[in-house]
Amino acid sequence: MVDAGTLQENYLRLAAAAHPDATGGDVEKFRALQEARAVLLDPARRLRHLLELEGADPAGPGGGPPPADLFLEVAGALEAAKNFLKRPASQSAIARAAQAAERAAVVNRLELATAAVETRWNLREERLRELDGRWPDADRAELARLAGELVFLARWKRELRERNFQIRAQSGA
Amino acid sequence: MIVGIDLGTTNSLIGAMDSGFPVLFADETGRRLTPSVVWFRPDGPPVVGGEALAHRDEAVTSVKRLMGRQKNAGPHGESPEEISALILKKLKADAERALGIAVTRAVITVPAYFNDSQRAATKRAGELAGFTVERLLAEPTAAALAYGLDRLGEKSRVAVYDLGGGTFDISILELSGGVFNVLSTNGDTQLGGDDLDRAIAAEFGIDLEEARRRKEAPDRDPRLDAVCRPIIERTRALCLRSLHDAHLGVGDLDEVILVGGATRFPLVREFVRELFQREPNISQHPDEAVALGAVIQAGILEGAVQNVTLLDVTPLSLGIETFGGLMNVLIPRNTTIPCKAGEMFTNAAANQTTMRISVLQGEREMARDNWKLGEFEIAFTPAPRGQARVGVQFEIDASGLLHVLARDIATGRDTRVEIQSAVEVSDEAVEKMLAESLEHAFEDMDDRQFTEACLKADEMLPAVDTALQRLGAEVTEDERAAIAGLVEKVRRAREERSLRKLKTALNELDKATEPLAARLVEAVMEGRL
Repeated sequence: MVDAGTLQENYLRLAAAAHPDATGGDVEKFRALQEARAVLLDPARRLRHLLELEGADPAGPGGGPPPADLFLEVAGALEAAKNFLKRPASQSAIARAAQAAERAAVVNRLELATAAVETRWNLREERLRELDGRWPDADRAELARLAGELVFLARWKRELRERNFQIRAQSGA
Repeated sequence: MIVGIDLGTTNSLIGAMDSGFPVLFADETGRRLTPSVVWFRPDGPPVVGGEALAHRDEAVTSVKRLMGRQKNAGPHGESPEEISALILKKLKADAERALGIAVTRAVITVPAYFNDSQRAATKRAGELAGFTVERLLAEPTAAALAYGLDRLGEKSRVAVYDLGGGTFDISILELSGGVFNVLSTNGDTQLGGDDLDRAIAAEFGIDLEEARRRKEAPDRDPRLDAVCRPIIERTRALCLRSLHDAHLGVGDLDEVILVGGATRFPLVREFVRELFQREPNISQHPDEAVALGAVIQAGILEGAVQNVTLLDVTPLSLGIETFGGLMNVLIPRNTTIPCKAGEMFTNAAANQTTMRISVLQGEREMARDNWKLGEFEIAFTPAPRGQARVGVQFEIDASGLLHVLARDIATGRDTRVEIQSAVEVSDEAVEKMLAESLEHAFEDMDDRQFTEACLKADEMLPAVDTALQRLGAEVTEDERAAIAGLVEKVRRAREERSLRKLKTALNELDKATEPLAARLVEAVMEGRL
């Protein structure tokens, strides 16, 4: 498990030394540090890295199918948001008002989907913590499944967040 | 000895470290600011700076806006780089006079949002002026350096709002133990004080000189504010996007630092205060902070400044064009630099010898909506389909410049790839393109206006229905009847295909339904619907 605050502090310290402008720093060292940080920040990547170190197969990029129940909710919310954003700007006060009502509904859907994804994410992180405590007596197959699921959850979090931002930006909120 | 240079849209400055302090040099008249103006005298060599200002109407001003975008900028076809080089040459001479030695190495600042073409043009300008350009430094980062140099022990998160003569940048940084880490950056390379001046000039029917004076006048003119507000508002979305990319809210920031001449304008300060919910930090000299930052960076590179590290980012996503005209992102925006990414290419047909790749920068989904840096060709050794492989490495260096390397997998040989710049469009071609688009604009103008009016009707009528339905009993019979009458007018005008009647009817309906619209929005906000 990784504490984001400590990670960032250490990263900045090491980056200062590894940066090509620093004496003793060079591009390769710097890039390796960036890569290490990216892996550590992402639980899915961390898990995959760990499993690779162990010689276990993390079961491909997605680690299996996406969590089906969430998939429908997330996909629906994202699709509704995309279609809403495609509409041209309203040209009259009344059309803008009608759009406001619809916007509220779309944003609500996005927020419900985000909450669902976050709840699932917290659940899986909790499970990771448990397995971490039991390490090395942890089921590799379960870890691989977790790794796969986290990839989907992370992507959906990103996409939902992005659509939410785009809709707020469009309305000038 | 490395000098630091701010090559600005309106003014340029040069300086160097002196016993641990960043110092800016003055020209022969004792001024540290050199106007970025070049007058091509009919009889004699070109004149740069204050002297050229006297001939402003014939001179080249704000050439920075054309860097990396246009081939010609001068009266005799001089490129923007060549004109910028003249400004840099003058600065070089001033520095050499101040230092008493030859100066050949420089750090030059660029707007954070400058793309690869614009940066490459700036580097070329430096080289034409006789400099080895050791680094291109982003202007907001430079300002943050100037701000943070005597606060190295502190930890903070700052935003730098940099509104210059021709460009706008917003950068979010975290400062910690001497490390200046850029979290995100955004901007508009075609938005600045010049646009405010032009708008004021147009509104009051005065010249740019007078417009500038009125903008800087202490007494506030509401008409002036009204005309400038929409321009400043354009920075709002960029600031919000930058905060979003940094995963921060306005409350997470410790300071918002203002930089750039245009931030002296009270309306800009009010805007920043409202958007960021705090008093902007005006401790940095709006015209000199960036140059001081460039000098500090020069100091870091030559070892004169210790314990300071800049971690900057690339501002635009980098990618290539793929199937369906889409952009495939290889390096996302706000990735810390230097960085690199690789992509593998294989031959689509047997014995194919070459393949053309388009390189783009931008955030849009379709390749054609992004800025094309150029194209390059990779060479395949003849082989059956899918068997020849070339790995291409895209590297963005610490100056934000792109370098491309191709490796033939079979031979293991690496070749540096030159990107053929897309900025080949000559002035005549641009004129022709403009003329053609204008021509088509006037064809079928009436037809087009009628179509647009119909679209507006198509949007309004259902919206009116929705509003009446949702508000139900809240709408009186009289109101319903009045609105129904106006809707009927719209329908009839449309059937008659009368543009004049349709436009009038739509305007009337628009006005009549404004109160209704307000009530609907209120109901939505209150959660009643």
